[in-house]
Amino acid sequence: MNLSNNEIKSKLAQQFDVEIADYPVLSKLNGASGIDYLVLDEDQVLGSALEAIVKRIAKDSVSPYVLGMNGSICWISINEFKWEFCFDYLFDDSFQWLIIHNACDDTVLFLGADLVDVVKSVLGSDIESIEPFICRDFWYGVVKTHTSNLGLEYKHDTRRYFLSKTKIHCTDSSQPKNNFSIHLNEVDPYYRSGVSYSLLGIICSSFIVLAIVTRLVQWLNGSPAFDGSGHTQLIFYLLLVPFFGYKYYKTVKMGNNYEFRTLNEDKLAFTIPDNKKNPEETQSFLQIIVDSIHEATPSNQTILFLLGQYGLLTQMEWVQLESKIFKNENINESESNIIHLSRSNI
Amino acid sequence: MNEYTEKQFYLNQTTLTLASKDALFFERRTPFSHVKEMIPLVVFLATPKIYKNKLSSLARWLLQMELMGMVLILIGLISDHKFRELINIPVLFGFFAFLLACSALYYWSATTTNLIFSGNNTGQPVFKLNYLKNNVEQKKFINAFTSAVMEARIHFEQVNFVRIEKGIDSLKKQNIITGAFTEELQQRLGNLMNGEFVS
Repeated sequence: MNLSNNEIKSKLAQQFDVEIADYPVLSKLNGASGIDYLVLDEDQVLGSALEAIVKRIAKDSVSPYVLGMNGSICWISINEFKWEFCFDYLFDDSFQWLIIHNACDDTVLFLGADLVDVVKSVLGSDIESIEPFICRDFWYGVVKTHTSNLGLEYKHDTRRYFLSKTKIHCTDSSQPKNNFSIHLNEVDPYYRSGVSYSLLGIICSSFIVLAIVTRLVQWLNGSPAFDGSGHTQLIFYLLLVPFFGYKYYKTVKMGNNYEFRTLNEDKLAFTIPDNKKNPEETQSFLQIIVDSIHEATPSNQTILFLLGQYGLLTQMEWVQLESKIFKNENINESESNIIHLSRSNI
Repeated sequence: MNEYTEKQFYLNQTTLTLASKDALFFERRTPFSHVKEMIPLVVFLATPKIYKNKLSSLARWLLQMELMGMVLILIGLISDHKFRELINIPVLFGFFAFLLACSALYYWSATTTNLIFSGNNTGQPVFKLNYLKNNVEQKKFINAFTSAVMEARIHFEQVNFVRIEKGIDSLKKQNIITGAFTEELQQRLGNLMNGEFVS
């Protein structure tokens, strides 16, 4: 991308006939659901252009906002997790055409009938079908692909993981509360997985199983030992079974996950479930995550720590820098409703 | 030699792989657990320690008492005529053999020689392996491990310098530090890197 931001803006505005906000001011737009978004300088042109285009394509009732954008991956969410789409967009060098990849159902949407050949050349043999339709005087083509090769993504059941240069995102279509988006520079690149059953748990559960079996045998044989306390014991132990069963199920389920932890506080950052049918896919995705964590720009706290560790700052400078970083982060945290665009070129 | 597998009684299995430049892949499978972990090589001491476990004083005292009791009973058997008629001698010897076998097994398992891979800063053991003196593969792996840790330390420094460079640029772009101070920091970093390579 050798063009300046202004040139990109004017070209996009001309191409798609949309109004694009001025970018030196940090623009803050109000979404319908009360969620605002803030666009940072470098991404703002493309972000606002995409937002305008999505508004045009979708119905008027939705208010999309840009979650984050980096390289060739763009995150646009519509109406706060009710419909969430993740788009990839591709520009060629002259910015003559735009392709939006809808990662949720592996379709590609593009504008302009003369782009069919371009799309074919980009996607190659992955194309399953191209369906054209006309909506609001625009010609759209919807391309169904066999596999998506546009973004770095990983699917497991209802979950979809997307990796961009600075962030990892997850969308869960069945449980929206599992959605997350984490900066890669806050994550420790060394993961672990596995399950270990506690000895106490094994002893407890075997005791319960034994007790249930003995009481059941007493009951079925009509033994005189099966009196009032026997009844209560049997009911009590049977009530405990779902509790222990759920615990066991959860341990086994967690054992299939690869855990990543946060760098500073030893907390669980996110988990990647193992694909049992195709473990190589999981391994390669993990490798890509680890590589991109290594390549990510460190967070401000980490930089401060490193500068202090190698003795590059005097005491005075260190204190000043710390207070400035602290102030900067406090400003960001106070506007928690605002979703920041990732800073692609930093 | 980048991979080493150790089996213990066909129950526990440990696999160590020097997967990448900076990390060790550790996998341990026991009857009640299965753990896979990537451990950064920088946290290790370069050479694993060889440590022979000792019996606890209580266990030693119990073993001594047991042996002493057996000897006393045997002396009693030989010296006292009535004592020999009172008890069943084959059963007694079977019991002794069982006790001796158990204690020998306990003694052997409690005094194994371990290879402790411990942490660089804390000195705490990260994980343990059985030390096998005549095992060629283990020797080879330990050599590979040592050189990998040495390389990882150099690699770690270089990676940190690259991160600091990136970080200084990032701070400048966020307008946290001024241009003049950025140049000053970059100069200091350059001095540090050159100094490192000279010494």
